Amino acid sequence: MCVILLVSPFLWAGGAKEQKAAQPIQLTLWVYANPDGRWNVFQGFIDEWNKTKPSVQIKMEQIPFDRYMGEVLAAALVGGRGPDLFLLSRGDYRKYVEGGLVYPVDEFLSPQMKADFLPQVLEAVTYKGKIMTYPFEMDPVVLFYNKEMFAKAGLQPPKTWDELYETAVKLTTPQTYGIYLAPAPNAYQNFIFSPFVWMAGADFADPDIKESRFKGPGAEKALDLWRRLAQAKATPTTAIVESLANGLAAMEVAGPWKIGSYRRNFKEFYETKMGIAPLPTPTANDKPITVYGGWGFAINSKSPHIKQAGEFITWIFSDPNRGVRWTTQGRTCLAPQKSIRDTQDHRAFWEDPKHRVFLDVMTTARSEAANPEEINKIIQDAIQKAFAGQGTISEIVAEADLRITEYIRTQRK
Amino acid sequence: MYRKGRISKKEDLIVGYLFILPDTLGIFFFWILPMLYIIYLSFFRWNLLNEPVFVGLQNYSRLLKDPIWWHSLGITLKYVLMYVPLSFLFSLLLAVNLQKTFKGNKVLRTLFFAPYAISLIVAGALWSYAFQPKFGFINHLLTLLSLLPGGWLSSTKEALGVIVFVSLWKYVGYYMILLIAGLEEIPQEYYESAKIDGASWWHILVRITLPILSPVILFVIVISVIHAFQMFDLVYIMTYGGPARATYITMLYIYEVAFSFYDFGYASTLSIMFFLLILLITLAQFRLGLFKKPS
Repeated sequence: MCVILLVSPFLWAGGAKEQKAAQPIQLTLWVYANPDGRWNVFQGFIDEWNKTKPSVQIKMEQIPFDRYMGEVLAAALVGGRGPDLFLLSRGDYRKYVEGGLVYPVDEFLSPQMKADFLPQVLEAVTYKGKIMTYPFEMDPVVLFYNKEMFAKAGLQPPKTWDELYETAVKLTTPQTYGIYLAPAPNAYQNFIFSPFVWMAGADFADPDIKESRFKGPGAEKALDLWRRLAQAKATPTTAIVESLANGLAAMEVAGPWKIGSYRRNFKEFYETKMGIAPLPTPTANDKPITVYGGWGFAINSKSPHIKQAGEFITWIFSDPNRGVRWTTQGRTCLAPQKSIRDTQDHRAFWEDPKHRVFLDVMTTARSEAANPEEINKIIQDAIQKAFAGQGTISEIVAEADLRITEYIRTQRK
Repeated sequence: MYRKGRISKKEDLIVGYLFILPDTLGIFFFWILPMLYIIYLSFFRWNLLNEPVFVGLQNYSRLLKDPIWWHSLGITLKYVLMYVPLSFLFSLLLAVNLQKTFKGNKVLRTLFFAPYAISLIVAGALWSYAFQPKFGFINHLLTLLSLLPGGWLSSTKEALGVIVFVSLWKYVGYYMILLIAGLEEIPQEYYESAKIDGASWWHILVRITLPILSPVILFVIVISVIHAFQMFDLVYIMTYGGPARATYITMLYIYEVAFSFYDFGYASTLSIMFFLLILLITLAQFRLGLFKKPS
C-alpha cells in the first residue's frame, strides 16, 4: 500500500506527460477576409494537412481586410498574441520586416525549392540577404476591356498612351466611363499607378528609401495622362465596384484576380465580352512594363512553433496540384513556381487565349514597390490634386518630390 | 440590507459610492488610464514595432509646423460651422411642428428618426452611390428637373457639403426627438396666456419656447458640436478625405498617422491637442451662458 502511494504520483505524472504528448500543436494562420470563395479552396488544403498530420493542426482565421492591413495584425504581433503564420503583401512588407516581426524562411527552402521560383520573385522578398516570406502568387496588371463596346465603336485595344486617351474619350458616354483606373486614394491606387510611372522612366523612391525618384518629365508624363483622362470625364474619380463587368466602363486596369470574380459573378461578361491586352506604352518605341503584386506566407518571429510553421508553408504547394487549384480556382493568379506553371492544368488555363496575355506580360513585370505608407500617401495626394486640377502638373510633381525628400530626411534617419 | 430604524449618513454614503463604483472603475480603466497613457506616449516616437524613443516636446513642435494638421483642422471647423447651425435649425423646425397633435405626426416623427437607426457605414455606402456623378439618382433627378447635375463627391467644392447633407439626414431626427421631449415639458398655460395677450407666433417662440427650452437646446448644440468634431465614419467610407483633401478632417488624419503610418507618438500628440480644442469649445458654450433657463 505504501509502495503504491509512493509510486502513484510518478504514475500520474507519467500519465499526464503522455496526455501532454498526445495534445497536437495548434498553429493559427491569419488571412484577410474575402467573400469570393478563395479561402474555401485554401481551407481544403488545410483540411488535407490536418488529416495527414494529427500532431500539428492548422486553424485559419479571416480578418476584415481594412483591419488586417490596419491595426489588428501589427498590434497582435507586437503584443505577443499574434498568429503563428500570416499573409504579407510585398507592398506592406517593409514595416513588419524592419520591425523584426518576421522569421526568415530560408532554412525551410531546399536548393531545389529555391530554384523552382522565378528569381525576381524571391529577390522581391529578400531583405538583407534573407528570404522573408514564401510567395505563392503573382498578379501582373493588364488592360481589361469590353469587346462588345470596342466592336460597336470599331476600335482596337490601344497600344500607346495617346491611343489610350483617345479610345477612352471615344468610349465615354453618359452611361459609361472610357476607363476605370484606381480613383480611391489608397494603396491600390499606388499599385495601379506604378507601371505608368515606370514606363515613363520615373519611380516613387529608390529601393532603400534614401531618395525621391518621383520627379522630372517621367513622373509628369504619367500624372498628366491620368489627369487628362479625369478632366475629360473619361475616368471616374470616385470608386465604383466592378465597373467593367457591370457595363459602367469600357476598360479597366486590373490583374488576374478579376478572372476569378468574373467567372463566379459575371459569367456572361467573362464568356462573351471580356478582352485582355497588355498595358499601353507611352509611345510605340517604349518598353512595356507592368507591376505584379501577390501575397506570401510570413512566419511570426515570436511564434513558439517556427519549425512547424515552416514545414506547413513549404508543404502547401509542394504538390503542384494544390498549386493549380489555387491559381485557377481559388485566387486566379500566376504561380511563381515553375513546377506549378509547367503542369498541364496550369498551362491549359493560363495559355488559353482568354488569359494568355498574363503570361506574356510577366516577362517585363516588376514587383510592386515596398514603399512606406507616408510616401504612398504623398503620391495619392499628387494624383488627387491632378484629378482636381489644383496646380500645373510640374507644380504637383515638384511638391510631391519635395515632400518625399523631406519625409526621408526627417522620418527615416 | 435591511435594518430597523434609520440608515446612518455614513452607511448612506457607502451605499451611494458602491452604486457608482462600477461606472467609476469603468471610466478610470477605459477613459482616464488610456488618456494618461496617450499623454505619456506623446513625448515618444513609437512605431509599435520597436521600442519607444523619448523625444521630449518634438512631437508638439512638429504639430505646430505641420501643414496637414492645420489643413485638417480648417476642414473640420468648416464642417462644424456648416453642420451645427443647420442641424439645430432643422431639428427645431421639425420639433416645433411635429410636437403638435395632428393625424400622422407620429408616423412623420418615426420617418425622420429612422435614419438614426441605420449604421453610418451603410448610410455612407448608399449615399455614395446616390451621389455618383454619372449614374447616381441625385443627378438623374436633377437632370429630369432640368437642373445642372453636380460633381458631388468628385468635386472639391461640393464634397464637404455632401458629407454635411448625409450627416443632417442621419442625425436631425435624433435631435428632433430630444427637442420634442423638451417642448412637452413646457406648461401649456404659458401659451394660453400669451395667446390671450395677443402675442404673435414669433413672440411666443422667442419669449416663451426658446428660453424655457434653453437647457435642452444647449444640450443639443453641445452634442452636435461634439458629433461634428468626431466625424469619421462617413468621411472614411464616402471620400477618405478626398477629393484632394477637400474633406480631410482631423479624425481621419489622426487615424492615418496611427494606423497607416504607425506613428503612435505623433498620433497621441494630435489626439491630445484635438481633445483640448473640443474641451475648450464645450466649456465656452457653457460659460457663455447663452441659453440660461429663465427663472
